[in-house]
Amino acid sequence: MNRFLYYLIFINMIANIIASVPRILILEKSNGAIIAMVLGTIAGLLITYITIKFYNAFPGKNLMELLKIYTPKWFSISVLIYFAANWYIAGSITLVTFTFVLIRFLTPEMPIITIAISLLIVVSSSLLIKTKSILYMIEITIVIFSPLIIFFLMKSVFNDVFEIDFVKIALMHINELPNYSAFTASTYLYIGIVNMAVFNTFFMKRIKLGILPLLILGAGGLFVISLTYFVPIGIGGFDKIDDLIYPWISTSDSIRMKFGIIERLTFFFLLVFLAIAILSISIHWHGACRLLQSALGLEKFKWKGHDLSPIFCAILFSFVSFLLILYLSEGQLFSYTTYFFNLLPVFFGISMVVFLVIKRRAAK
Amino acid sequence: MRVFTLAIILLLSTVIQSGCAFKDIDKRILIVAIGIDPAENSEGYKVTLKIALPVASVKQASGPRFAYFTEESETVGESLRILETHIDKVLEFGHVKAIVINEELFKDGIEDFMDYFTRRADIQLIAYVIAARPSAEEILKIEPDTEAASTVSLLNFFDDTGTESPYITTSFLFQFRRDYLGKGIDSFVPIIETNEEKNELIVNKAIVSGEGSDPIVLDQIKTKYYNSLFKSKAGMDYKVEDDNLTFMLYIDKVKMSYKIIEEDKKPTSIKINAKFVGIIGQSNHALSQDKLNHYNELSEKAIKEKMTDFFKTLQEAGLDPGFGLRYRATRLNSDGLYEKWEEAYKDLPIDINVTVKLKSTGALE
Repeated sequence: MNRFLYYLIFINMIANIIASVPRILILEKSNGAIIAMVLGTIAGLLITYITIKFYNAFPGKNLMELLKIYTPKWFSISVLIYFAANWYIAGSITLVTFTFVLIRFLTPEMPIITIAISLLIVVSSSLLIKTKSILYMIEITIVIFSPLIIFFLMKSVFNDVFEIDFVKIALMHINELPNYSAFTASTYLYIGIVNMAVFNTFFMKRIKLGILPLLILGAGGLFVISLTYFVPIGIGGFDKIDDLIYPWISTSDSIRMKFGIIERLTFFFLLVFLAIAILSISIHWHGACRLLQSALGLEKFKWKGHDLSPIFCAILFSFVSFLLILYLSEGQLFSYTTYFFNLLPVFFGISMVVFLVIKRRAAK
Repeated sequence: MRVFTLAIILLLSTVIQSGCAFKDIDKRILIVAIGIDPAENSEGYKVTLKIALPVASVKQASGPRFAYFTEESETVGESLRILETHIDKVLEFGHVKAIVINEELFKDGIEDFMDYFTRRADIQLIAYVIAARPSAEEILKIEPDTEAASTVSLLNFFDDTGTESPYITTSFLFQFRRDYLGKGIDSFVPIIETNEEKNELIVNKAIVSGEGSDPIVLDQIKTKYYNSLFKSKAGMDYKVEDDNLTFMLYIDKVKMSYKIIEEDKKPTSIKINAKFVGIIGQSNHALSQDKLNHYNELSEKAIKEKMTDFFKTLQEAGLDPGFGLRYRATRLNSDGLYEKWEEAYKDLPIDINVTVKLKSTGALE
């Protein structure tokens, strides 16, 4: 089962390519993005390490169970609600961003309501399935789409129009103090690990934490963050790249498959990343739903033996997201996303406190 | 029961999918190229659309069929909106593959309307940017004799699947944007011309433009040098003359590297190394295989002269093929770095070192 841990982490890393992370980094391109990316990767790796180490002490137990056993009720409920809100927002950011991307690039004439409803139906269905099925869903998606993603990334880097001098200019801004927003955005790449709170039920064995796994995670994270940042710069130039609202979509539109089935790579890119985005949203929302269920004690909420709480979650989540899609403008979405990222250290801080409390009480 | 319900829901969901975002393909019309000229009567622009008309089958078609629409207005966006009222179908911009701009427009304010094309997300960023001489409208309306059904000649020049020549520069929309707006690099855009009978398209010149400097037109030779040095386009011919011996080189590999030499934190010169590998393709005298080294030297001298000429032209106009970019890319960023370069570039000595390696004298001695 250990491989699922890597899937969880990597799927979230890749999903961030189309979300706000590249734009945040690019906006800070001459404000210390480079050092921030390195520091963000180190911080992310550290958080991953601590989280895995914590759950290793409790194989097969998820956070909800642990909180219930070891902490007082007021503490566990408030922590769970806070966590559920964070999970939900993380999923919603990807959802709203992707809806905006779809209407801008793929189907400009379709009403936004139709796009929103069709995405919400797919994502909501992920709330109704078993937690274990989510893990299998991740595996299948990774198997099907990772060759395509690798092909796409290679195609964009090994391309005549990829101008290495622009990338070097970006690198030459290494002599600047790290930027806070860029730092939190880079840390966000490692957000996948927090899903262990829900999925640890299936990790019965200890997860190995030697040099090699950390090296894979560190190198993988560094690889993804540098592609996220440098590919748009290499193709779109350094000086005016910050004018592009979706740097990665524009980059994919700049790559030509001369003898491909379709010449314009964007559509191919959008469809592949649609799958990745839906998966990422599903993971987050599924987590949010499980946390909320546990916090509010929704397990008792039954009708003729059927558990109604996932349906309740699905309706609540979809409704709020629907309103967000309708009323947010792109600028608002971006600034709220930045606030959310900037508050990320608080989230990690609270996680650490929770880990510490549980560990202390368990040791007694 | 569950499966059945799910199947019903899935089937019902197909009702809201009717393809092409609710408008059928026969209600759409595909624009192949957009042409932009200065307006004739007033301030603003004249926009020309080249529209491909569908044919039932390629076998029946006698040749390509196009329709042209023209409209003048203050901005490009307005003209396109007005043109929507001239055509009964939806204008589909997703297939625009060429943006043809009157050469005159490069002189002032090209940013004004180029912004429109990058802002509209449905126009491909891999559309070609082309300069037109004498006017975009005229160039778009030419249907060359060699044009076959279901192809567009205008595009074949640039997409590297048809003709490939070192005289042809290719510039994509995203590339134009990044080079034009970039500091330390300027954009090279092909110029497309026509003959007197208006049945041919000719592409062998380029126009160089950048933010804040006047554009210049490169002649055939200089365009060829740009493409083979900076885009590594093979198949270039060089004429070498020495006393009464004249021969042509056929170069199939060009490699160029350059670096900026700096002293006392100020750029002092540009050092260029260029290597050419090829054969002799044509000669007015018998040649000897043993004297290849001698021919190498002759060619080196001739090529160096042409290269110096090419770089000097750009330098005098204050246009940059990418040296400034390299300067910025090899130094730690600091305030005023680019300004320092800009100041120095105009009279920076260029040190060119050419190596020619001829492999053979062709099939003849």
